[in-house]
Amino acid sequence: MTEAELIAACRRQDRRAQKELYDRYNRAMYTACYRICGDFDLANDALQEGFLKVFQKLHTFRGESTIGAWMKVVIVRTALNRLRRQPRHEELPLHHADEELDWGHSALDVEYLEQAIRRLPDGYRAVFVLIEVEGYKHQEVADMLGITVGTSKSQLFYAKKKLREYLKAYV
Amino acid sequence: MKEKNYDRLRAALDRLPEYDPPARSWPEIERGLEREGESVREPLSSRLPTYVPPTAVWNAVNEGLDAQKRVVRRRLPRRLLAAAAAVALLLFAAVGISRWTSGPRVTYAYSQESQPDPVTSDWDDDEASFQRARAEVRQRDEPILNNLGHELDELNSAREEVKAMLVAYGESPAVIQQLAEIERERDDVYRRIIVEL
Amino acid sequence: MIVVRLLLPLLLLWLLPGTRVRAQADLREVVTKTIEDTYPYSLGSELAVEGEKAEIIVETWAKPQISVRVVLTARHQRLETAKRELENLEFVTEVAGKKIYLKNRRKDEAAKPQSELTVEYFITLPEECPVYLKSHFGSATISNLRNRLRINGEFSVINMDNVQGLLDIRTRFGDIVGEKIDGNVVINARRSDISLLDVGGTFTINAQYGDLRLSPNPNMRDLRINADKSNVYIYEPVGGEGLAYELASNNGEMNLPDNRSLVELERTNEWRRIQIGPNSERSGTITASVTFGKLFLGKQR
Repeated sequence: MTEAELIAACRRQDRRAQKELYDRYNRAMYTACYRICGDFDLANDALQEGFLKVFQKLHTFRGESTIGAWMKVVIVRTALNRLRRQPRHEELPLHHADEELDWGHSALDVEYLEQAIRRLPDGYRAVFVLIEVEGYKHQEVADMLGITVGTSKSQLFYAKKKLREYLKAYV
Repeated sequence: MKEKNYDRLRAALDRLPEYDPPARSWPEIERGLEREGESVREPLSSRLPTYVPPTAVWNAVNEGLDAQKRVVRRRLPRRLLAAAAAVALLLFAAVGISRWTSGPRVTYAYSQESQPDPVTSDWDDDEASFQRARAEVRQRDEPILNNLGHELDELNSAREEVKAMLVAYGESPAVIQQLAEIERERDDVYRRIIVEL
Repeated sequence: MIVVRLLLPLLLLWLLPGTRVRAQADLREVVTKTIEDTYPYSLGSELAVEGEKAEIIVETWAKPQISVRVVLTARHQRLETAKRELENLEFVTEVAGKKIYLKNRRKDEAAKPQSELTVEYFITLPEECPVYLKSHFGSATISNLRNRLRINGEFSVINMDNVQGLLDIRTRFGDIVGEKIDGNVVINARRSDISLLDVGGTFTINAQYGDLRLSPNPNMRDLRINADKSNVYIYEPVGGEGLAYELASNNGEMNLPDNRSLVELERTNEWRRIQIGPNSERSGTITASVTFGKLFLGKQR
């Protein structure tokens, strides 16, 4: 079944097609939810709620992006709403704008990096994951989180600073 | 912001793992879809019993709250580090600064025991019958059969989880018992499907 | 007789080497790694455990300390195999402020060990320490806790004995057995049997596909059961004259004692709802709603 046929079948509420769509994308979506929420249980709840929203809203999908990218926005938004404490996104003064962050010469341990990302405060983690891991632009993140581009940039800076601190403690 | 050696971070980010959702995710979504379908078809749904949702919302978080605090992490395989930490902690204790005791104590023991009887891994022998029944249920697409089909799906997915555990931790009697119990439940559903068919 | 006395030792001598060889072949090697640690306890300390195929045993003591002993075991006919595969089991601890987090995992999740691997946690802590458990396969056995207990179990049997306080239990494919439980308790169970004996306080139980056997004590103030495709057996306590019952059955059968006068609130072919008033001043209410299952009310033996 092509992706277009699959989407059409999902719109007809064909359960097998819905399962097929879920099977194709669940791993990527669950991973994104986990990174944003920092918790497997929350990620699972977000994934379930998010997929239900995807199937409800599928008629609004206009094909302007890939179905995967469209679904990810829906599910990522659900995950952000699921964050237990809604993160406060304050525009922090970027007075360290000239500060240099050094990631070191040796390779970073992926497992430690994952742990460190999980430990970031919710707001920092959300912005860091959306930009550095999921590849969204500051403007897109700002739209998703209802913040300004400036806030998104400063949150990313502080997220990276904190991440570097955590990683130093591991080495 | 200037970043030096950003390629180190990038390389590590590109290697971050992916995770599979638990097998229960799809049955939950399917139930959600069914509830939506029912609410469209049956406006009488408001007369059906209501259920208290799980109250354990606070079940999942703690970790974000602690992120500000300095986190101490010990990995046992790095025994040298652990030993160094233990020495440092003892020094602290000596000057009365730390309340912590020394690090973990690791010991190994070796013994022998009788070998249990081998297990016959016959749990996949009847899969073809189950799959045929499931396919027929799908084809018939009738409400009672569909419900039984969903029950079978849930048990099938539980069965896969149990089998995965048998692979991951070896064939332990307790897990085989769990598998046997699920097999009995599956047999029961299968029999009900056959009666309906 | 003399012949027997002479022959018997010879026969035994002849048999012994064979027995020994057979015994050797029937033995397997057991390699055990034990990790022990102790943490100081003070007000605000919390313990979280995430066990995978682990037997988790939590007990209490009067010392202001949390003691943890984790036993990782590999069993295989060849010692080298058992040793190697044991090292794939990893026990991780994290301490963040007053929160202690324990977890076991497999370093290489794709490994397919030939050994039988087991994990056990023996935890002893003050009774007021909040405990949060996640258990995927294995079991959790909790005794004498007094404050807050949360368990999220999958394929994991949950045993609780003499536990009080705020309890939140979620389980799937894992039975719950409890005795002497008092407090504010919420249980969500799917495909799990529940057996609770001598329980009081406020209980909310939501269950799908399970057998529920509940023996409340006279201190039960509010027990609400919502059971779907499940059988519910409620056993009235001796001295529980103050308990009132509101029972409903949808597409199921209801078995009620003959000696209690009841009020039929609704009755159709599929649906029945009854009320049984207390025999003395009301001390508590038991509400049960069962769909597609049996609802039984009887005396405790």
